[in-house]
Amino acid sequence: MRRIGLTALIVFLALGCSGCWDSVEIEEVAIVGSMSIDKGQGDHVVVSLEVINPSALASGTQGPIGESPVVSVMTRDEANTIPAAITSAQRRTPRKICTGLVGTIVIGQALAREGVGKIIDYLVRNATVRSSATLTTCDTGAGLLQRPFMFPLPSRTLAGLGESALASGMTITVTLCEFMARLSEPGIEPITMHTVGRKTKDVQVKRQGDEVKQTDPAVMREQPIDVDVSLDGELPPDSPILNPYKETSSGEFVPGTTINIGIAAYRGDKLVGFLDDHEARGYLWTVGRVEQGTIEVDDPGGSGKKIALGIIRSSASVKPVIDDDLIRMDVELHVDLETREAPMHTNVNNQTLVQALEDSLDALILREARATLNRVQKELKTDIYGFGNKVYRKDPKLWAELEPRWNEEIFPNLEVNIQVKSRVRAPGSAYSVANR
Amino acid sequence: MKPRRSFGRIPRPIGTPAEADDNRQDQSELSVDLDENLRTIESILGNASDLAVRRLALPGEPQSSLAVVYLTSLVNTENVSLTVIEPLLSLSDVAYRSAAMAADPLESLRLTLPTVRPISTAGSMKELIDSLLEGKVVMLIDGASGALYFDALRPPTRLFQLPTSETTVIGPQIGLTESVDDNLALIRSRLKHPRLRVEQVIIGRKSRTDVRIIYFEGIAPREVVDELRRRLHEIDIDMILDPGVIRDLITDRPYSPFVMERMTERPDTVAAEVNLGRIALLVEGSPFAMLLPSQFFTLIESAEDYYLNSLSASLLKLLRAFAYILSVLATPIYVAVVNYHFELVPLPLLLNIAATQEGVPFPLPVAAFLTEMVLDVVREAGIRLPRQFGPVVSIFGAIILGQSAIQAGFVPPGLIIVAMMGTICSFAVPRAEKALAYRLVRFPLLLLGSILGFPGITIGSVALVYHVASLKSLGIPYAVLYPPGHTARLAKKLVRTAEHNQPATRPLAPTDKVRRGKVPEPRDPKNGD
Amino acid sequence: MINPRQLFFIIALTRISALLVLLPVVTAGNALQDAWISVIVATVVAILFVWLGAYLAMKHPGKSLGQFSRDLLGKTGGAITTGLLAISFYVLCLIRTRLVSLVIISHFMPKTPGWALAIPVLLTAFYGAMMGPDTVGRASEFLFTVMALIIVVSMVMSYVWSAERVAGLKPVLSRGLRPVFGAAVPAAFLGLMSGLRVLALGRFTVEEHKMPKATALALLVSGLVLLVVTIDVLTTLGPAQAQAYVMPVLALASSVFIEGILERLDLVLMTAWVLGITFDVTVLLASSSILIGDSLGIGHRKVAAALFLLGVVPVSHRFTDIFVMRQLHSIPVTGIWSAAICVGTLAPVFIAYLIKKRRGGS
Repeated sequence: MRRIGLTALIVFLALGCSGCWDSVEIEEVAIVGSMSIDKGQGDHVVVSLEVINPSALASGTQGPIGESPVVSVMTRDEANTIPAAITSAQRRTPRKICTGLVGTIVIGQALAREGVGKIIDYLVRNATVRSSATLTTCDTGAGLLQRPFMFPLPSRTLAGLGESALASGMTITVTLCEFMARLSEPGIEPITMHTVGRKTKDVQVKRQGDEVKQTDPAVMREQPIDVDVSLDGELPPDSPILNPYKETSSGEFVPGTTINIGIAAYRGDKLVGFLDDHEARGYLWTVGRVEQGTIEVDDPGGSGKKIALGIIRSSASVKPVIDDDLIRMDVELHVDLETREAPMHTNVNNQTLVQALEDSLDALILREARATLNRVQKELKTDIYGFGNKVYRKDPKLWAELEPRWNEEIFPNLEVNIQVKSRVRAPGSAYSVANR
Repeated sequence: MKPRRSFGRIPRPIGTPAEADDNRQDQSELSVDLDENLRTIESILGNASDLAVRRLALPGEPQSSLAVVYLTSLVNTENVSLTVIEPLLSLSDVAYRSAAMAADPLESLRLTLPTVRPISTAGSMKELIDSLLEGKVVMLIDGASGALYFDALRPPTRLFQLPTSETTVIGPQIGLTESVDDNLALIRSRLKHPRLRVEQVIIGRKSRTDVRIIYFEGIAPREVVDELRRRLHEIDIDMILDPGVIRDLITDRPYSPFVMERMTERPDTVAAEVNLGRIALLVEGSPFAMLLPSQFFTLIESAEDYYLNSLSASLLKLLRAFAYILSVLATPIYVAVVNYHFELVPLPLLLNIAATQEGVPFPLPVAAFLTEMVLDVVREAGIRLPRQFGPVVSIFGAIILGQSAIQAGFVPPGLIIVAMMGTICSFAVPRAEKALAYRLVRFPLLLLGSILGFPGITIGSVALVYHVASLKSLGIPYAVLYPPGHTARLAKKLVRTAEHNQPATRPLAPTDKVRRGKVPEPRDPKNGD
Repeated sequence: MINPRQLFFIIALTRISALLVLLPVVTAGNALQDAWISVIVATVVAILFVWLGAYLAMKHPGKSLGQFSRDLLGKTGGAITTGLLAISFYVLCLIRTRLVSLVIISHFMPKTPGWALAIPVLLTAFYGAMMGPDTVGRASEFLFTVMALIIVVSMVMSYVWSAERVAGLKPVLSRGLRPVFGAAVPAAFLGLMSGLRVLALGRFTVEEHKMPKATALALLVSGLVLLVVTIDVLTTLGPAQAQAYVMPVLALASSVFIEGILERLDLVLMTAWVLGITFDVTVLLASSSILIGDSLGIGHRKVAAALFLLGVVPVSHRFTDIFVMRQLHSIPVTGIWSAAICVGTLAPVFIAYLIKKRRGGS
């Protein structure tokens, strides 16, 4: 007994002597909050990492006098592969770069159009990157530093924007895990969130607690960024994206802001197009993923004004109908809504009115869904709805035949029957307002 | 159940003068001559200053023929006169004379003396000396080769006090004292049953300590009692001052940090546990009773659990289990998370930790070891100091030292928080003394955590579970989660169910019948149904 | 002495932890989204064979295979049949030890040398085996409870309920039934190896009449857990993805997080798995040492010590074989291996037992 104890002790001591191989002192780690990947020159990729400076965030720690500490820095490196680019960033970063906490991965449009296989392979193979990280495709090129707003960190702001955008019912967050599942499943194509960058002016990013100097009202009126970094691949040396934080207030620049506007549709690992605003909602109706948001319809009472309804939930059931050679999809949508605003004096408790309202809602939703479906079928030609997967589940043999031709021939001409059943569940908190 | 080793056998030096003297004394019979006897006693005790010899001349007897001998330090003089001298003097001439005339005057006197105290007769000088040293009053009569001794008096004792090491908010507020008889009284008064067995064992060559084995016949497993009795009888040691000494001599695994014998200061706990089939050991001179065989899960039990509503008691028990696990694992996990698996921590929290860690000169594992050690030192110092100094140490240790260590940037505040949390959690475990020993195991875990991260802690914990599972107390497994013979109910162990739901049988004596019978059915007195 | 409940814990715990990582990979690789059917098939097959073993153990109370095979088949026959199983256990014990260090290294701690993980695991297993089957039995109560809690919690949290996903489980059988049955082979093999420990532990089990039930129940319960895990993996990651990962369960768990408390569940799951595998290695080491010791008539503690010393080198030298691990659990290897166990150990002993019984009866 005692001998075993002694052996154990010796082994543990030996372990202790030889060192802690993978031990990392947390203060020697450069935590990456978000990662942007875009196309570089030729085959290169440009990787931008938002490296966080934790001590600048902690209120107790003081920076050098007269300087407001920088909460995060955007690095920008170009290389053939992502790991090589990160290694290159490592050469300029005094701490060890750690990608384990990346919450948002921004993919530049230019690269996305060429294919994201490289990115996905890197992300999946790297066990430290968590598969719950969200993927977004950005129009104006990745590497735009998000302006911290309501959150101390750019990456938190970005993540927060992603979550809050869901409330519009016009976009959807897609995690790496979901993207992977869609990419590998037969008959369904991946999507991501679609964002665009907007330029804002004259903001100084300082440590939390310091006053943020931001007086220009124009700040809130976002303008599109004029420099299209993603497409020409060359950045001017004084580009704000390379020098995101200028200490002087005279500096022109600053980080921009991101708006989530819709969905990016992929075919395989290649971006084929964007579905924005109502188009995105049209897609989300068909897959039953609209969970919040507002919809406006004409007042069926004939006042010529609009009635606004809030979406409570939606669901969709898709049934493939296979008759010999003919494949048809029967989609049934259920949408629950409640009245949020109506022209004054309208009594929403009126059955006929509600019926009329539901009818026009059905028509509206069907129109939105149809419009998107048409565009996806005819123009994008990518089965992001997963109709093919339904066929595969139902008849794998037939699917094996159809698979090579699916996206190009069959899906674009697929007959899809959409039936909408919307229900106005509640009138809000009043049947009618100021009804004399 | 094989004898593992002989318990505490110390080689006895043969032939030393004192030893030889002892031996001679053993043999010597009491003399018929009173004076000679008294001289022998004085010489054996070396003219002890507290030896009192009271010679009495009884009425009708011209010369004194009777002596009362006792040690003043061990007896209360008032009691001597009340229980020995006064009854003697109250004997009428006739009674005394007839007694003295009898063939065996000692026996005759023993039978006639009007006192309630038990009287025994001693034949040898050794017996006489032993009873003197046990605080008894010896009566010698001229012309009789023997002595009477009165079990009349006891050594000074303190009053019953609060059980300071196991205080409860509700429930009995009385603790055991240093007197075995008082303690026995406290226990007997809680279990008035003829099958409550109290056995006496005298242990200690010099201390001759009175040790009592208390158990419930028919509930305590017979073989366990026999084994304990055997081990106690085999103890050969100079002195026993506390059950703690006995524990080391009779325990199955002396080198385990897990203490398998439970010490308690509460008579109600002793009674409850004895009724469940455990054996209690009372040692003269110690206010602690040792309960054994003990089980791992008694760690989270408090005496109060029996007096609280079952729901709140269950909640408290779960809380204590959680606190114990946390007190062992908090710091190792913190070190492993921060040094190896910081991906686990939410970003805002991680940034906080990282920021506070900046500028700390020591690597985290080193800081963790130092912090844990200092915390234990502060705690130890606080316990040992006189009561008035306790708060001072806490203030110095916790507030000034901790605060300035953080401000000076010696130790990361996150670590202090976690280590402090672990320490406070260990206080939530009812038996603080025991918990301290249990917490020792966190040091190897801390080492493993700082070398191998989570896998290290996991492997270490598995080894720890093996160790705990391999322990046996008096041949009874120490840690059994699902006791055999019952349906698997972990809940019963972690939770104190209402009295109706308590298992009817006892854990140590599954064959024994019911612990309680029918539970009164609640009825509404107003409705009268 | 082990009671049947502890036997249940031992077998269930070791089977769950052994299959947790491997199962979805191996089965999904062949059966795609029908992998869950393979799990059911494998469980049923494993129960059938293990029941035979448990029945034999029940009929020979207080004896391990090493002892009663000698009674039934003579000294040589007994040694061969027992040796086959004992060596299988031992080899599996070494493979598991390597596997646990390989997975940790490839996922979490790339720079840590293999021996630094393998030797503590083997040492802990050795300690447990030295402490004897009683200790292993009692330890299983604690470890099973912890493991069950972690698995239930992580599965509940990682499972996103949706009718669509459940509908997606409808059998597709795109390539017919063969791949489904094929994929069941490794799973059945691992179940067999977990369940047949009863042949060694039976010697220490009280209430032997409950042994077959406890063993079968353990396989059933662990089969259910694995079914849930497989379904979870299949519906969340998709079958194609499930076979691509080294350890899909970890990939699945890394996509789960509890907002504001735990960013990743994979580390927690990995902890549970290391716990289970360490125990598994212990039981394998103990079982093989009991079998060898009984067969040769030596105390099993001595055998365990010898096996431990013998194993130190193979588990800790040159750590590059994560690819080999996949092959070791491929259909041909496990198929041949399980056939060898069934034909070489179970069948002869059982037939000999039947013959002896008939002779004894007539």
